[in-house]
Amino acid sequence: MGGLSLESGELPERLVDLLIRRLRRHGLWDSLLMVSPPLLAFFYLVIFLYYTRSLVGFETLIFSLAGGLGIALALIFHYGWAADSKRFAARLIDERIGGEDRFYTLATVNPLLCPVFMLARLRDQARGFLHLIDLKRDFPFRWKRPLLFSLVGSLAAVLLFHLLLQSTLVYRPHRLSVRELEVLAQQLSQIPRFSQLARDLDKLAVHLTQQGRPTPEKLSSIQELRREVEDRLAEEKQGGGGESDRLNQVANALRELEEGVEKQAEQGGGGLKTSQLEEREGKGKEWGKGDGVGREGELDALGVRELQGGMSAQGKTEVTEKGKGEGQSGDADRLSGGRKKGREMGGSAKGEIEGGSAETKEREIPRGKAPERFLKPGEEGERGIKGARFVTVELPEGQEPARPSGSSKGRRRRLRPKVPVSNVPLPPFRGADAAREEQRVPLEYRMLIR
Amino acid sequence: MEPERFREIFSVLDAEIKKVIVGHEDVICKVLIALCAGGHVLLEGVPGLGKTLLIKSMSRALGLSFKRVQFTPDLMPSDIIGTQVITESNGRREFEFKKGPIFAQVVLADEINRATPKTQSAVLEAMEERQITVFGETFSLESPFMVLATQNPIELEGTYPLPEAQLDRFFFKLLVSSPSPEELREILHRTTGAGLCEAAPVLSSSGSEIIDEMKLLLRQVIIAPPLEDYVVCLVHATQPTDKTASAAISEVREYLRFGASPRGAQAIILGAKAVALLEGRVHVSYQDIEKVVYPSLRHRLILNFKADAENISADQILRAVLKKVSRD
Repeated sequence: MGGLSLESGELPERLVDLLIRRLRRHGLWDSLLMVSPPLLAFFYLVIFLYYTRSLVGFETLIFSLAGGLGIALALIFHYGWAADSKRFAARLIDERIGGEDRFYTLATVNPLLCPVFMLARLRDQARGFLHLIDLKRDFPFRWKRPLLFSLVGSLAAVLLFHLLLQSTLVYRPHRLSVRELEVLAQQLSQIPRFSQLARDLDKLAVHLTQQGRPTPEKLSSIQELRREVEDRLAEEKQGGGGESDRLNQVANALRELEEGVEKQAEQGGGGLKTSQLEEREGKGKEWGKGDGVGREGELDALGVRELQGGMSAQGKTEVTEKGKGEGQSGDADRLSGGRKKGREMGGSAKGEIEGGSAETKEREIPRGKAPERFLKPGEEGERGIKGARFVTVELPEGQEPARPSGSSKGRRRRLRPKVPVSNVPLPPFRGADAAREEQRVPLEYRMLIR
Repeated sequence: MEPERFREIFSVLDAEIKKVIVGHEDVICKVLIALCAGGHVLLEGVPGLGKTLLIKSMSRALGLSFKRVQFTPDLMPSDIIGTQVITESNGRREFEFKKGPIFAQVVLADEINRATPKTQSAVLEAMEERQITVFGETFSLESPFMVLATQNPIELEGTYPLPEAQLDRFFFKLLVSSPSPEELREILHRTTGAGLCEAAPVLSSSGSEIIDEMKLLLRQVIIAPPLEDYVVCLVHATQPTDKTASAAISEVREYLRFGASPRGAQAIILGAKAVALLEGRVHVSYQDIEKVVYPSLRHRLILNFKADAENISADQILRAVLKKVSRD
């Protein structure tokens, strides 16, 4: 039995302790294997989000990973170590060898409270069963079904994530947010000789977030700064400076930003991903005053971000200036997403501000025929003249349709009266001296009306 | 005494009683267990099943003093306990206590439910305290002392059901059933032939001492704390008023007026210890407990009117309790 057997002089209840250790190891493995797939899936998703820039900041990444790992470890140790008690292990042994609760009693009884000779007898009896048990053979590690479920579930979660990502949103892997620019600027400002460059980066970030700036202007600012960074990078490389990596990072970032803005300008939007902070500060409030292309592009970007982050769009499209019209457009934007809206409103509508379009929509409310209830007495509506005291009824023709002679045999032939009769109640006359009309047409006349 | 000696004596007694009594193995075993545990037994069964013979045979096999009291409605407490009579000696008249049949070691209270409650309660003190107080004077009863009462479950006219206090003092209540055809044939062979079967004393030394030693040994049997907890849970689950314990057991809530007392739990544990010794173990197992739950608790559950109306027995409720109460 190796490490899982009792020495000759050892008490039989030691076997229970050995089994507990073994079961705990099994429990640890079980919980480790159970927790690992979801943990790996979580790590994968976090790292994926980080590299796709949906998760901003290295600290966030580290905290997420550490948090996930911590929870996983807590689960492993909680379920792994606390899984099996002494009673449970002793019962397992008794069940395996038919010990009639001998090991159960030995494992749970207080030896000091038992008569010595009785306890010695009990131990002797228990020892007699030891040859029947081999912990390795009788309690092997077995794969459990939940492990499979965990694995399959985690894979399914990752697949589902990717499917959802591809089907519901436009996935842009290399878009840079203004917040990231600010972070780069901050990093650069720590190096004295790049302080000017850091200030320029900061300015660019501010410039990009300013309202009313047309996209070409933004693009030229980015290009200008990129060229400057590239010049400085070339100088740094020539001079053998150690900060070329950092400058390279900034240059790449600016290049990405430039590409993003260019692409969105081509698609009809400004296309700059704004930070959540800026969104919270009520950017939506200013949409109504905007100037067209750039503004719409920002809306576009916001719509995408809303979908990307899976966040609720509430609060981001606050309507303050134009009221109802803007609110409607804001809702439409939220429902369809910025990109869809960008496509639909492209071309002629590109430069229109939201408020203006809302006013146009108000003018275009269709004004059809007034409903029947608004007609004045005497006016003719779809159901005839309103307030008329007579109705037109279609009278019976007085002849039955031709039938086969066999089938009509034995049936009573109905004679239909020639006199026109109506069972349609007339509307009450509202004249002051009009008599009350309460008499109803008898039921037997009803069948005469077709 | 060694556990093996316990088993040996038990099996010898059992065999000797079985020479006279046909069938009823479980009843014989439980009566002997009650004797070893120092308890009293209530035997319930229709007349003619050999209840009295069983008890007589047991006392004879043990070599213990035996008295039988036929309980009738006009039986007085003094007829059981004894009374003071005036005696004259050397010209002086004085009261002398004349001991009643209760002073025997094995007392058979035949048809105990036929006597009035006053008479029934006369044996209360003897059963519990193993002593009798008459006119302010207390007399100890000789050990071992065991009351074996019988009652007829069908002839209920003119009977007085035993009060709960007295029922609770019985260690076991055993149901004596009718013999099977094979057993009946054997009974006829033994009783209608030329030879008469009678139990003989089987213990070499004094039966009293041996029984006392057996009692001591029985109490030393090991019982694990979880098993004690199990017994506590079982007894607690029979309390219809305790919402936490019996809430899950609908039968208890529906059909019981009162549940088992702590004496019930004591009876279960002592009975289980005896069963463990008889099976060659020095520790109690769950199976031992379950074997003695019915005789220990069935007379301690007080059924309500609904149970009587629906013909629900205490055993049915105990079955539900055993099923619902988990071992851990």
